[in-house]
Parts: sequence; C-alpha cells; structure tokens
Amino acid sequence: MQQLDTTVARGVLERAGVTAAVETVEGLGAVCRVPAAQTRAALLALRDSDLGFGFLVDLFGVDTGETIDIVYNLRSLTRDEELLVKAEHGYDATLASVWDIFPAALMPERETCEMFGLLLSGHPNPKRLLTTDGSEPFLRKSLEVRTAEEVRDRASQHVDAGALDITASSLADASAPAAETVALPASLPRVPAGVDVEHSQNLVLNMGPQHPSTHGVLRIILELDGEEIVAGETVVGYLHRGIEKLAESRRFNAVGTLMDRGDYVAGIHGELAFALATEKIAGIEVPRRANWLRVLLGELNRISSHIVWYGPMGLDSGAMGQFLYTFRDREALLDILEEITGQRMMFNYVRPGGVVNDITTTAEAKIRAFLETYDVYLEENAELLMGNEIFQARTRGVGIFDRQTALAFGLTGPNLRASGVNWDIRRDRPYAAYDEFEFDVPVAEAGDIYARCQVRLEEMRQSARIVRQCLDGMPEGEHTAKVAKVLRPPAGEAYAAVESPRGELGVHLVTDGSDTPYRMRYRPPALYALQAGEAFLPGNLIADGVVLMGSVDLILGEVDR
Amino acid sequence: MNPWAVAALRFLAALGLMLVNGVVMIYMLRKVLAKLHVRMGPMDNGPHGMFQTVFDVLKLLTKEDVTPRAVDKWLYFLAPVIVVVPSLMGYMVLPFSRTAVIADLPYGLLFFFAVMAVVPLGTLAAGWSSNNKWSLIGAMRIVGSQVTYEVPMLLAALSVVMMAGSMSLSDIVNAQSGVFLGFIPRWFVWNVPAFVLFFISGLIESGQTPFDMAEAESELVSGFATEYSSMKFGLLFLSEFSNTFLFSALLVTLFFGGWQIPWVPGDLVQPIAPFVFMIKTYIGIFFIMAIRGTMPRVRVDQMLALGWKFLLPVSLGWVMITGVLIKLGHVVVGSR
Amino acid sequence: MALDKLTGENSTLFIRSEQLFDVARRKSLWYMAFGIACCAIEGLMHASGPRYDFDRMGVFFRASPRQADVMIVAGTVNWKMAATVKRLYDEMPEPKWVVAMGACACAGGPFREYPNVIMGVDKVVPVDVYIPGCPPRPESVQYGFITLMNKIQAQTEERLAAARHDGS
Repeated sequence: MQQLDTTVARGVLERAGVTAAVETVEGLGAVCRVPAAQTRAALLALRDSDLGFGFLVDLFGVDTGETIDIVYNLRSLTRDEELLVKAEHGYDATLASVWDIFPAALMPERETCEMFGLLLSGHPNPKRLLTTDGSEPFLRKSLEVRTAEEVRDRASQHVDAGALDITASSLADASAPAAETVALPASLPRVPAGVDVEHSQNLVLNMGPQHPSTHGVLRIILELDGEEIVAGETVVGYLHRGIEKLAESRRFNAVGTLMDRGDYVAGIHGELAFALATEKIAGIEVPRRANWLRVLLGELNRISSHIVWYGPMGLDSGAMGQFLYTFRDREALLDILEEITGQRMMFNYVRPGGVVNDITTTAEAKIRAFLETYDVYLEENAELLMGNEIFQARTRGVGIFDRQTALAFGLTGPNLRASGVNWDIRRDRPYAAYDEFEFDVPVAEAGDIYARCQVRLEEMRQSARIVRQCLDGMPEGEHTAKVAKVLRPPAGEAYAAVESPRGELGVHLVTDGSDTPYRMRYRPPALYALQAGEAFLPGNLIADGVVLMGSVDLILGEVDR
Repeated sequence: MNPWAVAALRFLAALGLMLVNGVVMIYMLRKVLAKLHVRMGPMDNGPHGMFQTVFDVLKLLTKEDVTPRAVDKWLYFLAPVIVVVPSLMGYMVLPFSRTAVIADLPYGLLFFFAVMAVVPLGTLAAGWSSNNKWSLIGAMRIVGSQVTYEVPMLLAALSVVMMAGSMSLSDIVNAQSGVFLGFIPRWFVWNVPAFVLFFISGLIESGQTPFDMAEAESELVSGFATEYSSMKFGLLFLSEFSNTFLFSALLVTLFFGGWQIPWVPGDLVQPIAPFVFMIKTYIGIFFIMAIRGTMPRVRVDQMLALGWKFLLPVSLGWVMITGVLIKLGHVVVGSR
Repeated sequence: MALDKLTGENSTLFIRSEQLFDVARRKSLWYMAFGIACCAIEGLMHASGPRYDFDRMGVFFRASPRQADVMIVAGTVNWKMAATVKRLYDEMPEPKWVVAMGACACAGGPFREYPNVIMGVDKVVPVDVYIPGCPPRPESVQYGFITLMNKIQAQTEERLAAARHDGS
C-alpha cells in the first residue's frame, strides 16, 4: 500500500474550490476534513483527478458528541492508496447524497441517515433502510440501550401483536436544492428508485421475507411485465439487531460474540477484523503461531461458508441433490471446528492478542482426514452442478456485472474478482501471516453468475491448499499474546479489513480509552453486493432474478447487523 | 352379473388403485430422495416408515380447511376436482393384462390424451381462483408449458400408433409381443426418437423436474397450491403423483410391452400380468424420481423455446419418417 | 372433524377417532421454516441434512404456511419482523404449534438490550416449545420436536379426560 501524498491531495481539492484539511494520522492513514456543504465537490474532484479515488469502501457516521461526522472511506486501486474523507454535520442536518458519484452509497446513506436522525436529499429512494417509522436514531450517543433491570423484567415489555406497523417512510428533505447529477455507469438498467406499489400499472409481486429461496429474511418487491422484471426493490432490516450499537457496551474481548452473529457462517473473519482493529490501536503484537492458527481457521471457515452458498445455489435452480451432499461435507468441517473452538457456529475464538485455544493433535488428524476426502467430493459436487447443461444454460450470460459497474457499486471479494478486477486483501493488504503462504487468486472475466460460481469453487480449492501448507509448516510458539483481562486501548481510530468469503469485511473502530469501544462500524460486504444485485434485477426473468440474488452470496445477518 | 354392478366395481377398483398408488408413491418419493441424498427418509412410523403416508393423509383430513376470504369460491372448490377426476379417468384405459382393462376402448390412446388435456384447466383454475399472485404465475406457467408439450407428446405417440396400427392400448401392447432375431423383444422403445420425445414431453405434462416450474418450490413458494390447505391440498398433491403414475404407465404400455415379460409366452404371464405391469411402471417412476432429486430446473422461456422451436418440428418430422419407413420395408410393423 | 357434535363428547367413536387423529398429527408434523437468522443454518438446514435427518420422524419442510402444522421461529424477532410472524401464524390452519428456537426467539438472546429487538417471540404468538441455545445443536431441535410430539399426546389425554369428567 502506498501512502498518499497529502500535498497532492490538497492541491487537487483546492483546484476544485474545496477548503479542506488533509493530514496523515498515525495508525489510520490519510484523513481529509471537508465542510459538509462541499462534500460532493470534494468527492467528485478526488474521483476524477489523477489520484483516481474511484472506489468507495464504506460510508458511515460517528456521533462525536457535538457533531455527526460522516466518513467516506475511499480507495484508489490504480495507485493503491487510501483516504478517509470526513464531513461534519449538525444534529438535524441534511445529508447530500453522493450516489451518482459512487453508486455504492445508495444503501449506506439511507442507513446512516436513519441511524443518526439526518435527512437525505438527492437520493432516488430515500426510505428508511433498517428500521420502521417511529424508531429512534439508534446510533446517537444520546440513545441508551436497555438496562440490566429492564432486561430482567422481560414481562413488562408489551407488544400489541395486532397493531404492528412496518411502514418505512421517506427521509427526504423536500426543501433541499437539487444538486446536478453526474453520469451513471452505462450498464445500469434504470435509476434504482424502488417500486411504487400503489401507482404501478404492472403486476407487483412480493417475495419474502419468508421465502424458501431468499437466503434469509430478505424482502424483494418486483414489478413484473409477464415474467420479466421491470423494477425491483429490496427491503431489509428484518434482522436488525444492533450489533454496532451493542458493541459500544461490550468489553473488547466480548465484541467477538457480536461479530460472530453478524456474518454467521464466516464468524472467524468477523472476529478477526475486530481483533485486528483493536490490535492496531492498542499496539498489540500477535505471536506467529497465533497468526498461523488464525489463517488455518479462517480458511476452514471459508470452505464451510462457500459450501453454505453453493448448496442453496443449486437449490435455487432446483437441484436438491448436491445441496445435501455439500452439507455432508460441511458436517465434517463443523466437527473439526468444534474440536478446536468448542462450538459449531459461534466460535468466539479469535480475540485481540491471539486465539483462545491451541489446536490439538486429534484436530490436526481430523483436518488431514477431511482434506483427503474433500478433494474428491469437491470435484464431484463441482461436476454435478457446474457441469450440468441446464445449470449452465441458466447461468451463463445472465446477471452480468461489468468491471466498471462492479467497482462503482463497491463490490469486493469473489463478486469483484468474477468481473475481472484482481484484488484480494489477503495478497494486497496482507494480514495475519497470509504473506507467508503460497496461493492463487482466481479471477474471471465474464462477470456473469457462472463466473462467480467458478471463482468461489476455485477459492475452495485454494483454501484447501492453504490449509495443507498451514498444517505442514505450523511454527512453535504461543497461541496468544499476554493481554490484560480488561483491555483498555488508548483513544484512537483504526480501520482493519479482512477477506471474508463475501468480500472485504472491515471494522472501523473508534476508541476513547475506556474498556468498551466508542464506535464500531462493521463494513458489510453483503450490503454492497445486495444493492448491486437489486440495481441489476430489471431486465431479468423472475427465475433469473432469484438465481442472481443467490449468486452474490448474501447473509442477512451481515446486511442488517 | 348386472352390468351396472360390474361398472361400479371397476370404478371402485380404479379409485382404489389411484389412492393406493398415491400413498405408495409419496412414501417411495421420500425414500428414494433420501437414499439419493445420503439420508434415511421416514423411519420411525412403522417398519422403515411404511405408515408415514397414512399418517400424513389422516393429518391432512383433520386440518382446518381455510378458505381465504378473497378467493373465487366456486372455482376454488372445483379446481381440485377438475384436477383429480380426469386423472382418475386415465386409469380406465390402461391394460393391466389381456382382459383386465376397465374400459377397452378402440381409441383408448386418444381418450387418454383428451382426458389428460383437462388437467391444465384445473391447475389454472386453482391458480386463478386463489387470488394470489404467486399461484397465478404458477398457473400461467403450467398452461404455457403443458399446452406447448401436448403436441409433441401426441405426435410421438402417433408414431407408435402407426407402428402398431391401432389406437387401442391393448392392441398396442399385443403388437409388442414376440422377438427380433431370436432374442430382442419387439418393444417400441427401439423407436428411440419417439421414446425420447415422449419421455421429455411427458415429464413436462406430469410436472416433474427438470420441468416442475409449476410448483417450483424455491421460486414460487408452493406455486398454484399455495393457498390450499387440508384435503383440497391433499387432492392436488395426490393428483401430481397420479399423473406421474399415468405417465409412467403409458410409457410402459407404449414402449416397453405393457404387461408382457420378454421371452415368456403371453398366456403364461396372464395370472401375474397386473403385477408385472405395476412393477414395470414403478421402475419407470423410480427413474423419474431419481431425476427429480438431481437435476436443476429449466427456466420457463428456455423450456417453451425447446418445445416450440425444437421438439415440435422434430416430432412432426419423425412422424413423417416413421410413416416412410413403415411403407418402405415394414421394418417396425407389429403383429397385424 | 365435527364428530363430537354428532355423537356427543363421551362417545367411544369420538374419543377413539381423536386419539387416532392426534397420533397422526404428531407423527406427521410439517414445519414452515421461518429461518430468520443464524439458527436457521443449524436447526433447519443441518437438522434436515444427511447427519441429523429430520425426515426420519416424518417432519419435513413446506414452504407455504397453509400446508404447515408447526412454525419454527429461528432467530431474533424485531419490530419489523413481528408483523410478518403474526401474519404467518394467522395464515396457518389449526391445529398449529409454534416452536421458539434459540435464545433470541425464547427471550431476546444476546441482543435483548437493543430497543429494536422484541424480547422473545412469545410476545407475538403463543409458543409451545422453547429450545434454548445459541444456536441449539440440531439434536436439540430434534429433541424439541420430540417434546412437542409428547406434548400433543399429553394434550389428547387431557382433553379426553376433561370431556369424560364433564359427562360423568
């Protein structure tokens, strides 16, 4: 990673007429503060200049006590540089949408506005994302979570089951002036303005939230012309449980339990991202063996996560058989994970400083036995579904994300690599001993559903390769650094990202010196994949729409947090 | 005996066969799928779970029969009937042995197809009357697909009729007696294009994977049957299996010699002919279920394109070619 | 069935038929999976998978609520989800049961402090069996179902005993 030259950035912004302060903060990188009213100009300048900051990694808010800072995490893939743009807003301000500059901002802006009580202007679909009307702006510091007494007195919570209202209305600020829009990616079928349920002249169909194939509680509203989708809108928030808010009241080695339940099939990666962010701020040095163990379990978790994606992928297209065969393999994996961590699913294994247990010799033997049979089973399963002509006819040439669109929508992970962009955090921003391993990063050019399947299958093979190297070369040493029981990192800020099976799982952590985080932002790769999938629903048939949403690998626990 | 009593007994036999088939086939489906999927299937309720379907049926009988307020009442009640009755009528013409045919019509095959053509109307009625967009889409898919594939199915059967020289199913079975070259049975399955066309079209007509888009569970919730509960759902469920049985039975009759055992004279087979017929039919059903548990589903427009643009011209062409071949060398002529 | 209206609640025919139907009901529980969250992977996908096959007990998955007997609520219920849970529960035909799977559905789970979360699905629909765990193992879910089957059996006997007691 290159360090951004702050003088160059300052020059670019001054030429665009923006009064900005750019500085390099220790541990965080380049940070640029701009006035709220000049955010659009600043982002446009940064994107279109030679600096080439064309990739929006994340957009979120932080309640500093006096203001609400909206943070834009930008990345330049051409120059391999990162920049954080911060804009200060007042408590009842209006956020000017930057969706036309970075289409990846579509859903994060809605979420930030509802969580902090801001209004949104210039957005095609400015509805609340995760909560219903009448909900408080949960992430403001002024809002407290339930106390222990309230929780114990469970009987006093009253729910009038007959009068539940789930309308999520618009956060639009009608009085804000309309900004000039910038050109959108050419492949975008239509402006993602959602489906107008009342006034539509076409058939409006509702899928979910209870639906066999929506991979969790996702609601998709489709406007249909016959079987062809004219417009689509996804409604999320059915699983919004407040992981980010609850992290503010948990100790640092307990936040892992919350991260486990975000992306619940790839728990190790969530825990690891948080541990890395904490270690950056607290300056903890992790022993080499602990890092190797992190890699080992991370790769095993990657295989099991891809299995959970691959099985229902077949089920979406109607093939029941290979769903069950892959689950047979997953049972063997879960046995191994249970042997090492004690749990089949919510591991709570990676903590700041290292990992909780060392592996045992039985676990090692089980892993080797698993790898022996797994090579054969993987090829069988691949042939069974991917080699099937019916499946290929349904997935080749369908649901294409071209390179420009994938970058514009903030896609990461296999979704991005299937569109031809060769970016993998394990190789390009190495963490936890990945620089000591030899593995290939699969990249496909087609960008269709079949390409995404190919990339993930190849990743499973590469993961098996990494696991073998891990077992063969595991160094001696401690499995954790000596860390205080109650960790109190100094006040600071850091961003750490890992390559989870879904993409770039990042944690932006702000600490204030106490024993709980001040603000934890969980960058959900599945949210960015979801909005890309939603934007590209029009033009497909229903069956293809279903397979498309399945192919971008969504886990709603991560999308809703 | 009083002809009315005989007719009533025959009707009851067909009804009984249909119900027993339903029970056995549902159990068979769960067991076949389970074994394919490295599982066990029903085990607790009866030895190896044999009574599972009986309990399922009893439970369905006593579920509350919910009629949503906004359904089209008459159609909603009639739809399961329209679906089940033609299926029952299809049993009437199947030749279980030389004499055990409920109604040995000289145009049995035509009667069979005419009656089965009513079934899509029933599923359309079910989907439309449910007042549920999912059911409607499921119903529209059925009508589109089943209307498309009735023609190739008929044409494929037509080439068999030409080879046998008659539309009566008993005659078709009799035309497949004897052997070629001393050991190859004179089954019409050697007319491979007709067999393949008939098999594909029949899979669609009976709504089986890879063409089960009417009840595409992962897309349409329960397709046209989404709003049906209790016994009405039971009837719709039963009709799907009944249609599969009929399709397999017709496959056996038209292509695999019906109740005959190869190399064994017909008279010797007569006492056990119905059992032979049922065994052959169930082997066919087994293959259909095995396909169901493995293959993905074809997309609707791809399936319709396959039907109109490929199967229809091919089946037309094959009918012509069969006629020419018969005329040229009496190569595939039957016992007439 | 309205046998009790024809023959009276004390008739042997009614009693025996109810016992038979309750046997059928507990041996053929079809569930509508309401896999909201993490519990769905363990309790629904793995419990029906090759190792813990649910189909052995006659329990299998129906997508439509109108064809299901049991609703397994697997995951956290928040205000937005509660409306859907209630609606699906209302759509199911009688007799119906609800299984609350996992700590979140029982009492709010690890997320109970968050104001958006409802502390337990029994505030929205009546629950018959609670399965604790985060997530419960597939064997726990199957044990929960066996508990439900025993509960159905116990209810039969209670109901019939009450009917007999009233008559005498």
